[in-house]
Amino acid sequence: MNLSGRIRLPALFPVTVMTLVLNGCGTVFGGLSQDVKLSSDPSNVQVIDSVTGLKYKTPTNVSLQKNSSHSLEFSKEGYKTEVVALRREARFLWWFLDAFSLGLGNLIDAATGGLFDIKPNQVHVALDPIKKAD
Amino acid sequence: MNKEKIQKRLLFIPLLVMTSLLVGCASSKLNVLKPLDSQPNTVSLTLLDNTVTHVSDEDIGNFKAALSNSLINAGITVVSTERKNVPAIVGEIKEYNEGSRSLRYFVGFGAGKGSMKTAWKVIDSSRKEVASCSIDGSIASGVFGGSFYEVHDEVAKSFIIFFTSAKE
Repeated sequence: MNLSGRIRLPALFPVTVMTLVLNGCGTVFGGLSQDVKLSSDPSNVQVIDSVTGLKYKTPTNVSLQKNSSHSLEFSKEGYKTEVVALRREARFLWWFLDAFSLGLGNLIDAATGGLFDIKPNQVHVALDPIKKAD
Repeated sequence: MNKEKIQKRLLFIPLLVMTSLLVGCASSKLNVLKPLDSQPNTVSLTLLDNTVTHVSDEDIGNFKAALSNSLINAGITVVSTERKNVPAIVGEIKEYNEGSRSLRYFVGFGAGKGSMKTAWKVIDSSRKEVASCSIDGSIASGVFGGSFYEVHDEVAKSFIIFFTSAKE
């Protein structure tokens, strides 16, 4: 087989293999969830993920799905509530490698969340007490 | 021009794209007004929003989290402000403009630039100001336009440089 007089079938083989291997590499190697360490002062603070509705108590390590954003609400009686929005950042390495699959990998990784990293991967919140004047 | 030369020149395009993505991300500028004499191991952290256009609670929370993480990674314990006998870090957000990530990504060349101006004081347990600095952060480009939260991280890094470079 001769395409345009230059590209031969054996030459297409590594390209095909590379395309298949790199399809969704972020999902395969990066995983669908990420561990995030939550701590606070004082401890034993209730944390509600306002996106998923899941509740935690500090200190703890939680495994968060990377296919959705997360906003953590730290609250304890007698203290001001604090909200920390975790952000999803596309990891350039996965995006770049996925591009070899002509965009298919990018779509797969974006849908599963494998393309992203959750930042920050540790959240420490020091809650301020509610003053009587507040 | 022969094909080999064209192919060699085409190789520079991805390199140029990669370089432009990596260079010019978020940055910050530290201006030390009064250096810290000795670094405390435990601090409380207060962040004041003194901007005209108020900063959202989520952005304040994220900025405080970025600072807390940087302090913890530097071996400093961050505690609640209810503990009166520990030194306090008081930060003031003077200006806060997130810019536009879309403009940074699609237009570039400074369009959609985001910036923030902050001032910092370290107050010891006797309520006396012992150190101060100002830190300005900005973002003009980055991967997919760059998140403004990268500026939070950069300002936090600069603050740690200020805080951990005590004379003692």
